[in-house]
Order: sequence, then C-alpha cells, then structure tokens
Amino acid sequence: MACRKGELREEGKSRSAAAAAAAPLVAVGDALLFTTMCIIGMPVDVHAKDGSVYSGIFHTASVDKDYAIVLKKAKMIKKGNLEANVVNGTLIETLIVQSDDLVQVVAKGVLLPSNGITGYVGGNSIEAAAGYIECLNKDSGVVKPNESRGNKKHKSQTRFAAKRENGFSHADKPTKVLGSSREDHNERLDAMKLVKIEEAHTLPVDGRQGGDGSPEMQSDTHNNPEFQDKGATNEVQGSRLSITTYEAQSAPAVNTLEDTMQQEPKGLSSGSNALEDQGQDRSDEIACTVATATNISIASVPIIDVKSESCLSASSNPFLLVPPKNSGVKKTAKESKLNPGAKIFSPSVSHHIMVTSPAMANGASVPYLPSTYTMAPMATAQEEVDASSFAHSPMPVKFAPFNNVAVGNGGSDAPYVQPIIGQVINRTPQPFRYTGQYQNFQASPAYGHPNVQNVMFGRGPVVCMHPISSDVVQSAAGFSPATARPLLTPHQVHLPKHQGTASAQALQLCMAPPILASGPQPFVMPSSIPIQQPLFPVLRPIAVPAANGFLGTKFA
Amino acid sequence: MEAQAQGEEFAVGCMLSIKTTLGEEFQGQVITFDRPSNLLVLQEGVKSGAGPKRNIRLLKANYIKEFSFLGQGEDPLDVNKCFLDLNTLQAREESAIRQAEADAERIGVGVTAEAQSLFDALSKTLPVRWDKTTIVVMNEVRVSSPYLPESVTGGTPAANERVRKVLEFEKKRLQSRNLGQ
Repeated sequence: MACRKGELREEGKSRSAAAAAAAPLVAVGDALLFTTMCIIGMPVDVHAKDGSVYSGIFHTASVDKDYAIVLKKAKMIKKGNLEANVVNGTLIETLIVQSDDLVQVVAKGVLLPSNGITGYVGGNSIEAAAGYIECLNKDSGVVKPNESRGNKKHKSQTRFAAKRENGFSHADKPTKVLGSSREDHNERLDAMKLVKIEEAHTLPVDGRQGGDGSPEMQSDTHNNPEFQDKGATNEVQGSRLSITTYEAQSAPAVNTLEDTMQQEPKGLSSGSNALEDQGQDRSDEIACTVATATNISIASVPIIDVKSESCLSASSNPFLLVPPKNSGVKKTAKESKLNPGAKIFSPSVSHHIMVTSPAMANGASVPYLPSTYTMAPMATAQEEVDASSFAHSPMPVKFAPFNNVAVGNGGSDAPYVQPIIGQVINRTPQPFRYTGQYQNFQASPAYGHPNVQNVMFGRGPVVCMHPISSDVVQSAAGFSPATARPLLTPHQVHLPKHQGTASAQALQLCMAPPILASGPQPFVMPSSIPIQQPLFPVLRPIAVPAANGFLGTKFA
Repeated sequence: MEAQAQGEEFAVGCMLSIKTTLGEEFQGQVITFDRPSNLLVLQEGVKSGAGPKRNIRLLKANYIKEFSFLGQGEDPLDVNKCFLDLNTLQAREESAIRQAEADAERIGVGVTAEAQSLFDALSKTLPVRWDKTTIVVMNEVRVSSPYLPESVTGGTPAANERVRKVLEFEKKRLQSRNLGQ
C-alpha cells in the first residue's frame, strides 16, 4: 500500500524518534542501512535489470545516493536477455552491481535482530567460539600457572580442542599456530622448571594423601579439568625436566617437548593451582631434588607423559610404544588422588615403578630398577623419593611415550585424544601397533578396576618381567588391534560410570594398573581385557612383563 | 509505479502481494521503504511461522508491476533491538566465502550433469576432487570421461577396484532414480 510521505514520517516518529530524525538527513534510511548490514555475509540472489540472476555472498553496499552492492564469489545462475561480461557458471570473485542494474536483492534465511533474541544469541555464540580459540592460544602460550588459573574455566572447555590440536600438532608440528608460542613456553618452562617440578612432585603426593579424587572423577567438566590438570602438570613437569636434560640431545626431542609443553600449560594452570597448596610444603624438599637428576626422576612420570606426546610427533616407534606407560603413570597419579586408601596401597608407587622400568628399558641402568622397586614398597609417602630414583633413568624418550598416554587418559576427553594419536601413529611405519596400543591404554584404564592390587602385581611382575617383556611385546603387536577397539568402547563407558559412583575411585585405581602393565604391552593385556574382570589376574602378570619387555625392546 | 515515484511511500508493516516487472510474484511485509534509493525492503515468511529466519528482499520500487494490500502488521523492526556486531558480520562473511570456495571446488567445470552427480556421490564416501573433467579419487585413482568403470585408472589395485565398484553402484543408482522419475 502506498501512503503519503508525511504519514510515514509521523509513523516513523512514533516508532523511534531517533530514526525519524535521522532518516531525512541520511542519504539512505537507517532501516535500509540496518537491513543491509543484516544481510552482510549472507548468500543472496541479485536480480538484474535484464532478468539475469546472480548468486553470491553479500559483501557490502554503497549507500551514497545510489544503492549499489558488491557480491563475493558470485556466479550467474540465470542468464538475462542482455549480453553480459559474465560467463554463466564461472565463479566471479567480486561482482559489483550498479544501482541502475539492480532490481532486487533476495537474502534467504536472515535473522533480523528485531525478530527476537535469537539473532543476538547467534552473535554471542560466534564470539564465544572465537573466545575459545583465544583461550586455546592463551593456554598454549601461557606457561605461568597463575595465568592458567585465570583461564581455568576456559581451559575445561577448550581442552578438547587443545588436545586435538596437540594430536594434530604431533602429526604436523610446524603447521600449527601454537608452534611459535611453544618456544616461548619452553623458555618459560625452563625458567619455571624448578618450581613446576616441585609442584609436580607435590601433586602426586597430594593425590595420594588427599584421596579427594573421587569427586573429581564424578564431575566431568569441573572436576575432570582438575584431574587433567594434575595429569597435565605432571606432564608439564616432566616435559620441563626432559627439556632441560635433553635440549641438547636432539632437535626432534625438543619439538616433542614443545608439543607437550603446549599441552602442559593447560593442565598446569589447573594442576598448579591444586598443587600449590599442598605442593608448597614439600616444594622445598623437591626443589632440592629437582636440581639434581633425582628431580628429573621424580618428574619422570609426568615427563613420560610429555615425552609420549613428543614421541607421537616424532612418530618414532620407541616413543609410540612408550605411551602406554605414560597413561599408566597419569592414571596412577589420578588414582592416588581419587582413592585416599589407594595411598596406602601405594599404587602410585607401583606406577612409578612401572615408569622406572620403562626407563630401564630405555637404556637406563638396571640398578635403577631395583631402587624403584624398593621405592614402591616405600609407598606414597616416599613417592617423591621413588620418583627421584626413577629419575635416574634419564629416559626422555621413554618418558615421552608416557606423556602421550597420559594426555589421552587425562580427561574424559582422553578417548578422543587417543584415537587421534593413534591415527597419527598410523601414519608412521607401525600404524597398527600404535593404534592398538593407544586403544588398549584407554581400555585398560576401564578394566583397571581391579585396583591397586593390580598395580601391586605389576611391581612384582615388573621385576620378573624384564626377560619376558620382549616376548610379550611381540605378541602384543598381534593382539593389540583386536583388543584395542573393544577396550576403547568399554573404557569410555566405564569411566562415566565410575565417575558417577564411589566405585570411580576404584576404577581409577584399576585404570592405573592396566596402564602400568599396558605401558608397553597394554595390548597384550587387552586380549585378556575383553573379559574384563577375569582379565585382572591375567592382566597383572602379563601386563608387567609386557611393559618391561616393551620398553626394553623398543628402546633396544 | 508512477505514483510512488512522485512521493508516495509504502507504509511500514504492510503486508503486500507484489508482482515485479520480471514476472516474479511474492508476498511480504514492508520493513522499510527508502526514498533516496527507491528501495522497498520486505521480509517474507512472516505468516508461515517458519521460525525466526526470514527472506529479505530489497526491491527497486520502479520494478513493481503491481501489488495488492493484504493487511497491516506491526513494524517489523524494533529500534530498541537493532543490534549489530561487526565482528559477527565479518566472521559470517569469511565463513561464507570459505564455504563458497569449498563448494566451488566441488563443481566440475565443463562436465556433464551426470559427471557432477557421480562426483557428488563419490564424494560422500571418498575424498574426491576435480582435475578439469577428470574425477580424482583419493589423489590416485582417476575417473575420466565417460566415467565408466572401464575409465577408472591408476591407484593401487585395491583402491582402483573400490572406485570401480562405487562408480558402478552409483551409476545404477542414478539410473534407477532417473527411471523412477
């Protein structure tokens, strides 16, 4: 309908004094300007005077006197009755439609803000998405625990993405955006190494002492972050240690470390927070140890995790094999946290032992192993000491594998991460084994329920296992593929359940043992694992040997 | 049209049924009429209740052949809710351009409709791209015109065989669909 201009003006005034006042002064009305902006970036169809129709992305419009528009990625979808300099079917990067030629612009599926909050919400979500990315960058970039603390909430959300990135980064180190920050992180990490190491030490201890792990397990988002963070802290610490010791050794190793470092920052922030309180008490002691090789050893468990990541990036076989161990280590730490009682069992110690054994395999001296074993008996209280002893086994490489696993285990997210890792690994020469191992690891945790006892077994077996290990490893390769998949599904499922119930603690504990065993031969175990409960007995004996064997073989 | 050009305007909120000089016919609600550019801004789908998403039309008023008044509605624009986030707009445009680029790569240039439909079918299960008029599957198996199983070349025997089977299956599917129509 048409009405007199004056009427419209009045109506406009009633609508909005501002709009009414501005309208006469502006070349193009506010409402048109607003509508135009609402369709920016939308796919539109533009009808031209000759009947032709162009489809493209609305880029901008000229609102000075004449209303001309600019389309991006435009193409003619209907030819007009006039010859045009546009060939039907070809994509035009930028198409300008002059006012004279313009008949109609049709934008489909537009959300006008005035139609409700939805449009606005959409904008928010986009911003939020951008925020995530930023958070990720921050996490990767920010080494300092304090900063990370501030980002905790973001971290929990971003971890998924971050982990994925990490996994990808392992595959393609240079490509990632994070790469630049890595170096910085490393430097920072070096500076903070001592502190972090202390924290790391404290973390495991805390978990054992506190026994507050169960609640954490239950809540995926909030609590798990802490979990992961702790694990991450361990990893970070380890990475730091490894970095210091190994920086000169090999560039690839450094890269891996960097990768791990990136991941670490995430965990560190949260983990550092939790650790700080508890960690401060022991930090003094730890700090002293840190300076020495023993410190490294302490970090060794965490380090292992870190290295595992590095291994992935390196895609070296030995590294890959190692990862299982790492997961085990992380798990142990978690378990200790979860189960107060677990401390008594000293599953963590056993875990440490496991780690050490890998280290041994890596080329660490046999003597170290004995020390670790003794340490295990020591129990949680002296875990630090044990760790130090383990540290002796300077197996940066070995540790790295652990790191990978640990990362995967770290969160509920872990399953996802692991698959990614597996894929990455697949690219490597031994895809099957790697994947299988990873999967096994995941699964193993779930099966792990058997608890600390498994870990205990692991200790004993570990010693004996050394000879066996090589054999196990071989077998493991075959088994791994089959076992891995089944395990994965169960593993994921189990975790949630555990989290929900008190049993979660036990489960976590169980998880750890498998890890230990799995470290090297998680796969072997997995074959038995499908059975799950029955598996425990099997797992214990097998797992330990396997791990040792794995390490030895791989490292060898 | 003549009357509008002489100063009459469309009232905001009117529901109109419009016929254009190009033969298009549609119904919409007037969001605004911009005098300087002679642009009538309408939104479609108000009555259909198709959700908050509308089709927006910016129509030059002098291309309106005829229109009829269907009713009067509320002013669709609430000035108090007119918020725009430039970052959001930029992000939307960038993603749209990326999407357009990705889609453009999927369109074969100078290929038959059948070839394109085969390409689309293959792309559902395998990574494919166009190399001129040749469909390249998994970067190794090439399917050139006339896109018969015999025209599958290259790649490992397994991959080659796989592509042949998929191609055969899709051809049959397309044929049956055509027959069904």
